[in-house]
Amino acid sequence: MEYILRIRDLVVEYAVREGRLRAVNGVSLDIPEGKITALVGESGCGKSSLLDAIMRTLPPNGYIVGGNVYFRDINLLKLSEKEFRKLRWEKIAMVFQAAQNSFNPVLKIADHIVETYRAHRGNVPKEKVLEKARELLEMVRLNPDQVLSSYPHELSGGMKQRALIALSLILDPELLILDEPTSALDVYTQSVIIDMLRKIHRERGVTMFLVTHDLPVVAELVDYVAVMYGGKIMEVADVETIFYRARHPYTRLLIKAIPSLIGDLSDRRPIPGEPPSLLNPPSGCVFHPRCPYRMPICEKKAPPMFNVKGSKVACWLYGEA
Amino acid sequence: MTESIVELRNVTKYFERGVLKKKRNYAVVNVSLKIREGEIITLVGESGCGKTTLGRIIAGLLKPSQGRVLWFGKDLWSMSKREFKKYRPLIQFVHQDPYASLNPSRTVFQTLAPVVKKYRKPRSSSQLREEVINILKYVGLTPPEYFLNKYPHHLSGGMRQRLALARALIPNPKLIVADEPVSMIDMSLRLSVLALMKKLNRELGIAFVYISHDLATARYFEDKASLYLMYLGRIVEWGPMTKVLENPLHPYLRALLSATPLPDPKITRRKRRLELRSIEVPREVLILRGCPFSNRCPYAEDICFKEVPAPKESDGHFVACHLLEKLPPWIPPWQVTSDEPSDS
Repeated sequence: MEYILRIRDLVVEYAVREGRLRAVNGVSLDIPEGKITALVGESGCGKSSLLDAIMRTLPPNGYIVGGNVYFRDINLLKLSEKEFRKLRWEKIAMVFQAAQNSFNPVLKIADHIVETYRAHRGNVPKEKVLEKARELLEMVRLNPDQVLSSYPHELSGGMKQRALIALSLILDPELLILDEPTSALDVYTQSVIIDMLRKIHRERGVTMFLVTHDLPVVAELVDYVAVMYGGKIMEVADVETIFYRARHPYTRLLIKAIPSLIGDLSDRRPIPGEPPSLLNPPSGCVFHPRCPYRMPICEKKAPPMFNVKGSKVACWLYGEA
Repeated sequence: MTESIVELRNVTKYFERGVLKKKRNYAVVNVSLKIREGEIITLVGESGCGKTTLGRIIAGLLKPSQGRVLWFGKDLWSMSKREFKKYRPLIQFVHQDPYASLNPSRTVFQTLAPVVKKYRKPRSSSQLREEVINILKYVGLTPPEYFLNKYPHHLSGGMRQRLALARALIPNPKLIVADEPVSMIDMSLRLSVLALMKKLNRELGIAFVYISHDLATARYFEDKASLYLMYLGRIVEWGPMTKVLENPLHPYLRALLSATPLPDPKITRRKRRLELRSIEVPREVLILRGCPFSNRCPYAEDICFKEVPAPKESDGHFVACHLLEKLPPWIPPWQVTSDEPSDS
């Protein structure tokens, strides 16, 4: 398998009043080309910090302390701001969680998109850009003329989100990164957007990397799943392995904790305990205080990634120290 | 028949807008319902359907524009101050955002102590402390001594919501209106807060109005709750939850059920969504004429645009739809029909 994005030993910290908060603690992850991969985790697990580190959107008190991120052969963390700006949109496009903030509020969508396009490709005739924009908007079942002549506030949240996903493809990026693409939307709109992402992926072959806490959405859309907890990757496997044969205790308990419309309710139970504090993380494996299978070693030493039949698991149940 | 705690009779709420306040935005239209002792009602609908407004009307936080609100059989908005003072503590409200609903400068103890003082009348400060500790234990904030001096920012979303529920239960309420209490909580902890609500209902007999956009969490109460489905200000289908979910009738409910993703990759990818005529709720809507769902409904006929459908009942299950007799039979979109078994 070819990997379009390779994250190696990434460490991200925030300077806070109480000291250094380590949000991403040595994460290595490969994103396979031409597939849809999801990074899932609960709030505070570090998934957003990981994205921010890659996309250079960390707040001023956030630092990349170590590690590397390769887009093909390019080390993203070594690029100058100017070089990175060239890459963004053209090779790597990103759809942020709050879609409404991603459009310039004083520009019509058409002007925004023309401006973006020209910033990368020079002085292309407006009509040529808009023609492409129309085609993309139709793909997400929007009325192109109406959307292009609107200001962002004139569109509903779902329309903006769809417009943003469509227009993020205007420069034919190879990698589309989506941060919680469906979380603030109604169930029906969410389902339509999932379908659209699937269609875009099928028709254009663009690699997608999705960051979310929403496991049912993951079940519906993605090929591969990486599970993050307390700043670390716990398990990486294909979607069916994660949902039917998860190996890491956290993954298994998480799947069982999701409220579902189908199946036996008595099967569903919350994970006991509370998420770890990143400021003062537990010793050894970050999940050990909540883990029903913990062994003496779990408190002492953080497990490395073990390969178990096609999946990767950071758990001492699957290997020896 | 058990006494009703809150009863709404033909309640409508609109918000006036424009300089001359001539235009009206309707949030709730002609809703009647009864909440009886110990009952759980789940109020489900998408954003903007008016469910929060309705919840606030039930809890007496908002005065309806038309219609009557009865608390314990008495008209809320014309009762005497003395009566209101007596009933007010019995109906509590828990907000969606536990980050905003707790005073950030008060510790857990300082949050609960004044309420305990007022309603439980402890005789000494040690008794007050003991009461607070017992309440913390009861809602699962253990060990309680650890939490007493914590500020809200020390607590996770799940803990904060437990604290909000703890505060709400001190006056021994008859009813708690909980507005999306788990939507801002981590997936792994949602069930624990729902379980706490169930425990308060079971052990203390507190009735709940659980407001949510999410049928999957509402279903957690299915063994004893009723489901009220709201769309653009109106209740369009209601009844005992098991009955309603087993045989959903309103096309809107069917669409929602068919669109909700399921945490099972094989099943969720197989299900088919009921296609609506527009993806989003149309902006310019005249919800006062015709069925509120008519402009999205895939089955809509002429009559749907002209007349508001009257609710029809079958065995405690109500639905407001003109086309009830013409709807296709319900086949759950996730039902396994092929020979391929799911290996969960």
